[in-house]
Amino acid sequence: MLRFILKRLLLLVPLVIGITLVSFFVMQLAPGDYLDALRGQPQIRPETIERLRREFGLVENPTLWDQAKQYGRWLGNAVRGNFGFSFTYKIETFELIKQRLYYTFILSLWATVFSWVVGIPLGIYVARNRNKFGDRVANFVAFAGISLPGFFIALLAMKLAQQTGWFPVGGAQSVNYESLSQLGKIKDTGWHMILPVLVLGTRGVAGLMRQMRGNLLDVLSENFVLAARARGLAERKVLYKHAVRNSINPLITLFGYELSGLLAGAALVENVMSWPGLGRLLLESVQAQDLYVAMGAFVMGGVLLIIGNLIADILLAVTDPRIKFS
Amino acid sequence: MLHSQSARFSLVTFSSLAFVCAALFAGCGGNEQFAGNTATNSTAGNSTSGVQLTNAEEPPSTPGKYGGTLTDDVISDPKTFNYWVAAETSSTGAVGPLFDALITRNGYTLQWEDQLAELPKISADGLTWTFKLKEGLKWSDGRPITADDVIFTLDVIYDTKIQTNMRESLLVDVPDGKGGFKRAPLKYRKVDDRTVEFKFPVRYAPARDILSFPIAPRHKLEAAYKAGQPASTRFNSTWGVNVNVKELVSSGAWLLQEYVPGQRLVYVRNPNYWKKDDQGRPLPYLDRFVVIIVPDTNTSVLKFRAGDTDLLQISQYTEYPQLKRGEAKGNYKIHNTGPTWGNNYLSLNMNPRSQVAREKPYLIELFRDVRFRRAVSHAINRDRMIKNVFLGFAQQMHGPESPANKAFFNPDVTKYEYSVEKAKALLNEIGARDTNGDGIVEYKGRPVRFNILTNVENKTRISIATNITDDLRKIGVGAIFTPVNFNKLVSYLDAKPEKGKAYPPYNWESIVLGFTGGPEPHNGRNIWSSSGNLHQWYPYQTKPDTPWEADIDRIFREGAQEMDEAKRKAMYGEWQTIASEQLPLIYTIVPEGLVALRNRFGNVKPSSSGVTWNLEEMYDLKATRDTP
Repeated sequence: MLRFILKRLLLLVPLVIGITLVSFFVMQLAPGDYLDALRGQPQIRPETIERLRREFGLVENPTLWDQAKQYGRWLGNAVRGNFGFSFTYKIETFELIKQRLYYTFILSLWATVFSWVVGIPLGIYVARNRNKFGDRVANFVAFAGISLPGFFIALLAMKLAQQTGWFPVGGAQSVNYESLSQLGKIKDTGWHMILPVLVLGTRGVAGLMRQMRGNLLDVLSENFVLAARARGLAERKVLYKHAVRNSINPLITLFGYELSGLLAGAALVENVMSWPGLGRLLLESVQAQDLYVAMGAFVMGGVLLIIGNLIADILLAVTDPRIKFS
Repeated sequence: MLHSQSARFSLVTFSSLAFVCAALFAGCGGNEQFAGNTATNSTAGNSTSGVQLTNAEEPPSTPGKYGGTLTDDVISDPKTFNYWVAAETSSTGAVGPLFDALITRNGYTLQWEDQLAELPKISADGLTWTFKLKEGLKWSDGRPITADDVIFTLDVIYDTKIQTNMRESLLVDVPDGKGGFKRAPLKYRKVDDRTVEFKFPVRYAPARDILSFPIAPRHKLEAAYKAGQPASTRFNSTWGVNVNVKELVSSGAWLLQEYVPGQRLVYVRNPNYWKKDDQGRPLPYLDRFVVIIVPDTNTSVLKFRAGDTDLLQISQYTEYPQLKRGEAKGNYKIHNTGPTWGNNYLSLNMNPRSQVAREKPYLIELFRDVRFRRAVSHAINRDRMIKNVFLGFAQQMHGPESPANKAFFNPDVTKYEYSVEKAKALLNEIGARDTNGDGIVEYKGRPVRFNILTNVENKTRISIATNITDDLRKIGVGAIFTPVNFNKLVSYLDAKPEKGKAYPPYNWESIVLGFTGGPEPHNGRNIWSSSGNLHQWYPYQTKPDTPWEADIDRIFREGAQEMDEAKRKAMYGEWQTIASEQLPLIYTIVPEGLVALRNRFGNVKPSSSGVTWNLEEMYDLKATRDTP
């Protein structure tokens, strides 16, 4: 087991390098660079732009070789733990990411918890009440949840918050957050998190419910279930001890993939709902062509994703005795 | 899309993200009455849609009570709290409330007034400027504000290792004898603890403008400036967004109490603020000023309607009717702050050394004919644009200066009323006629077709470009609208002549763009000097290409050295007239500013600077305390 984890962690290295390589060159495809925003200002002389370009180590109209050198320099520094400076913020990239990572983490965490806690029981319920009214309604809602884009649901949620006043209109803290007690702070953040978590988790709930329903129906039609029932086992035992356990395995594999969707979805939800996470920083830095911040954020996102996958694999081994790491 | 709310506090520094943002405002107000003939000064109807154009008196202030909070929002996070290296409005806006300058422009009248120092004494030859700091000035931590702080600030700004945009504006334009300028620094010295003296290499009219830089606290920043190898570079990252905000001492009305990334900025009263009200009581009246950071304008609107914010800069005109209906229920009023500083123009490539000139010489020849440019201006239906794009909340614009510039705006520039007939007559005169009946005119046997570019990020500009394209079709000019990415657009416009290469391509035909201006016309020298890099239609000229460009060069050269305000106004008035006659840039409209503000505040004085330019004297009408 330990060897497996080590091996996976080692594999992480080429994967992260691959991610940075692709994202670096994709960002280079966009025309111009960070300094273009300054070029149109009447108060800034071309000489200043030239000087800044030199200081930032940028090249006007870079060739592929220039870009390769630039990437090499960045990678060399990154290996030594220096992810570079932000052009716009003028501080270290890592400092910036640190400020934002926490919010993306708790949002994704609670959205995952929400989608599993709601999605799995719901899936069991609809599988047992197949083709009844509840199943139909849940299916309809699930399809709506899967097909509606996340940002659209987020916009609707914002509108709801503004119209009803039940929830805050975006943000992660109240204005008077600092003056609250410890308990008050937790309550305040929780209250702000309800809508983003619901929005982000809805898609997960829908997906998990559909999967769980399908898997459970498959398992319920297997012979061992029939056998268990024939032996007179209580229906509860048949269902929860045997059928559910068997049908939940594929979902754990899904967990790893879920996480990637969640991170991508979080970036959208963060941007619509003023959630101060990594996604907003990433979007801003890509728009401003603040190269190294974007790269740093990509690395962070990539690492989170890979670790999520790793956790899914380990969980699978724990729940499924048939899987052995060797 | 890069956003920037209009810089709330940096009226004087105008660190405008010129092209990129031009935050667009809606305003109510009527369509302007205009008349006028082609190429002659109009005889009737100045543009006065209820907005005062001359230097208006600032309305009197009333004494307020202490207490209350004003909550505003802003689109993006500050990038640094170091005012001296800040490069965009989100940062200068965030630290603007903390750092005063020696002198500043009044946000209402745009006249110069004292801030940390009294208005300067100027020597008879106009070269020596002496500033005396007010008595008993203190930073918020109790340390005195002295001449040493001023000297330190200039040392930092003039140090080439510091990445500051302020150095740019602190260089004086000295005529180089060849029609352009060379840039020279000021000399400065400390006379005594409260007095500093500046020496200019030449008489320099925009002196007040460049001397209104924010003063830095030496006792807080000197260590970072002096420390580190290589020396000075540490200053650039000092007071970054990860700084403990308690470190940020203030000479302005506010102290930054809290910054939560992506969430909010909270300011509280600076107890040592120098400014007092008419009764000698300390300002500001409000206890707190909160700025919530939102991701986009949609959230701004939602937050305002939910009652989370007290102030809304209306940037999407389509929101106006709904917001207007909510005034009574939401207890707010929408203030029209008059014409804004942003403009929008169509620019035709008149560069004989461009790629276009090589491939389509007839097109450049046509663009260089002033009659064609006038035909285009006549063809643009500005009223329709105002009605459709701005819901009536904009004014026609025919010259380079916005009516917001009360100090320099010339209302009597040549105006081009909408007239398809006049436009067609002009085209006919040039010899551009539709000979084959396909609806497109031909010039020298070639159909007149060209591309109009604009940046895809700016919705308003896209609507304007679409309207122009449509208008030009009506006079038989085959314009094709192509939106492109902003950076791509800049690369078309701004390419420096390189050694070894004959000339950069300048491969564009026409462009719709806009600049955000400020009160000082000399700041537009890079656009209007024929040698300027933003002299879009034909940049980097070695000597003026046309007599009128030579005239404008002369005006900018002499205007920079004319110390008499009235004479200056006349000179820059002439520049506006020439520009409107020759139309190197065909101006379209200037939007009006619209700001919604809750009714519970006193001393509200909307002006082209916004509604919070005098925040320190605004007060909560429900406040009750007599002392801070």
